[in-house]
Amino acid sequence: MFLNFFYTLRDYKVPVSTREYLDLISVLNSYSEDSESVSPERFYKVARSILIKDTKYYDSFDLAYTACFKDVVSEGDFKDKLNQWLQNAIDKDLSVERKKQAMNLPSEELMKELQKRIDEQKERHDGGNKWIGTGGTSAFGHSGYNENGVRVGGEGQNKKALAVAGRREFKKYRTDEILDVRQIKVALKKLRSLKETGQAKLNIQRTIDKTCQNAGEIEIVETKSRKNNLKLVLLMDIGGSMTPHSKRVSQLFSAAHQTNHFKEFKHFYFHNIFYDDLYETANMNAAEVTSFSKLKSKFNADTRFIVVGDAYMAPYELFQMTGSMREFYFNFVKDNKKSDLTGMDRVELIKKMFDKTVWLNPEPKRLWHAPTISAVKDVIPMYELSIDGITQAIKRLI
Amino acid sequence: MSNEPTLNDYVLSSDLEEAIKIAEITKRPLLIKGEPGTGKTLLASHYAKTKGLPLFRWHVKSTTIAKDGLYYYDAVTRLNDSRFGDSTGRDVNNIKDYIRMEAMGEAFTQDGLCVLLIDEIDKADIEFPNDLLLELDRMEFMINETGELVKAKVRPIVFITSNSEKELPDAFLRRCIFHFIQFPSFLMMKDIVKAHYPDIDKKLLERALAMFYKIRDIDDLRKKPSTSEFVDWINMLLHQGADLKKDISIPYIGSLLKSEEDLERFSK
Repeated sequence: MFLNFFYTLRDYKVPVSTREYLDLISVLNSYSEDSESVSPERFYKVARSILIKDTKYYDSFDLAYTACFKDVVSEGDFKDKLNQWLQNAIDKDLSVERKKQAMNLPSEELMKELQKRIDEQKERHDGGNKWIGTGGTSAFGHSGYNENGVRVGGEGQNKKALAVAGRREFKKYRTDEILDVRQIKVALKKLRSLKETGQAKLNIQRTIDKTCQNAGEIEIVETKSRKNNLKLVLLMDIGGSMTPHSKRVSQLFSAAHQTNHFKEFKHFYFHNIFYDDLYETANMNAAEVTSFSKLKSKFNADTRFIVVGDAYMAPYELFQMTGSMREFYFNFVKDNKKSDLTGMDRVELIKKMFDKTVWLNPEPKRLWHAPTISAVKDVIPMYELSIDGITQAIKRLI
Repeated sequence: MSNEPTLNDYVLSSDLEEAIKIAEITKRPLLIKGEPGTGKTLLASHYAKTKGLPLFRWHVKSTTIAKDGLYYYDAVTRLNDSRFGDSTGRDVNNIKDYIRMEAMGEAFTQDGLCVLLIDEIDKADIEFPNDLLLELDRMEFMINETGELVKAKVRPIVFITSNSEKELPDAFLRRCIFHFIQFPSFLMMKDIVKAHYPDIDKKLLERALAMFYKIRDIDDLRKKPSTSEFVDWINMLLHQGADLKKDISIPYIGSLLKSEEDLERFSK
């Protein structure tokens, strides 16, 4: 069961290694040597401290715990299984006293009530309502967990751990679903290519050190400063189908904006797909534009491009020369000046000009079979607009 | 905090206690994360004091490199001694006289058990934790100047704090026990305040707590007020004799909300 728990964690994409598994055994073993009891709740805490190294995996841990231990109703059961496992793992006999403790079975009534409460809590949670306090479990502090310190009497203790797990308090720390400016900034910090640049400057501290180590023979040490040489351009699709995602896009934007370690950071806006102009302001003022064809002269080839957009539009907008937005655009904005490139041509062009281009899509992956999305995806590597997606995208960019 | 917090005031949650115990058993460093102001740094001092162990602190800065925490070779003093120093008590010919141990080195050379705090490890370069893998794993390092190997006689208890400004490398994480200090619940916060101000008026405390959690419940705050700020605020209320009877405005709000935007958002 416990080994199974370990693999369930891996199934939930929590990075756990043998090393941590052995640590867990050694800790539990040391507890049983000191004849301290290991209640399910304690096991939950111990396992989490050892196996989980980041809050982003806490939620997955809770899910895995619930999946593995939901059927283990009584503490007696739990202990028997734990003992079995420890014995298998370390081949050690456990004290008779501990086994006696495991037989201790209190009232069933309470458990049923607790079970009811937990089920109710889960439902309410799934419904998206906010939890108020820890009422569910606190009402059931009958077993004197707090008063007696570690010693836990009474059954249903696993319920407490399960209740904690079931509440999924750490859902907001997940990185595959949720975005937060701070987290994006952390991810963007990896986006760098350090280069020693500029003129070498006299490093006084190291010169003194070196000179002294030479017993006074002067040795000048010059160092070049290491600077992030990376240029980043962010192209953002706004309006229309992107409106529901505007919060996430603006989070990404403010994170990139606040991360001041790029050599150069520029951003442009577009609608649906790039036409000849990229807008410099979010309200798409036609006076403040940078022509698409100028990108090449403005940025050198190793500039990183991140395109943010759902790539979701009417197919003719992407593939044909005539289309509602395009027609409007060329007829009115550009005074009938025609361009001979379709949206798709430009997608291909930008990838050709700037090899390090990625696309972040706020739509979930399951919708990416839409024709325009999959066409774009075939040309530019596409990732979800989530922390995990951004992290993968950044790996691609470096 | 304006006045140095006394360590008796530190309230240890049972979860954290468990984590410390695991770190003791496995002899692995305990990595602590949590919102700013939840007492990450204070924990090491608290632990050292209650156990009566010596504490060595290493405060990491953005320019810190791994060697900074191990030892320092004072070549300048040596050169000075070689020219002018007569009765310094140091032997110029003996390079060891000019090697000074830093926090980690000091901790390793102790005869008994001690506590080492590596504070805000995420401040340094992304690669920094990786440079410490061997040192933390085997608890030993080499002094290049003398070729001497410094190895911990007793593995110290290591606390590492992080504000998660940067992601820590996996290889480093594998070697740690991890604990996330959750923001104190209403009840725990009550205990914390009581530990600081045992004589506090019950009603005042209840009202203050209610207001505090109301502020924290506002979404989109740039910076939510922390435990230490709350304790400061209570201190201020007690000191100024303000009572919170009138439910209209919160006195000294500036000690809880520290940016203009947040104040604006709050007044809405």
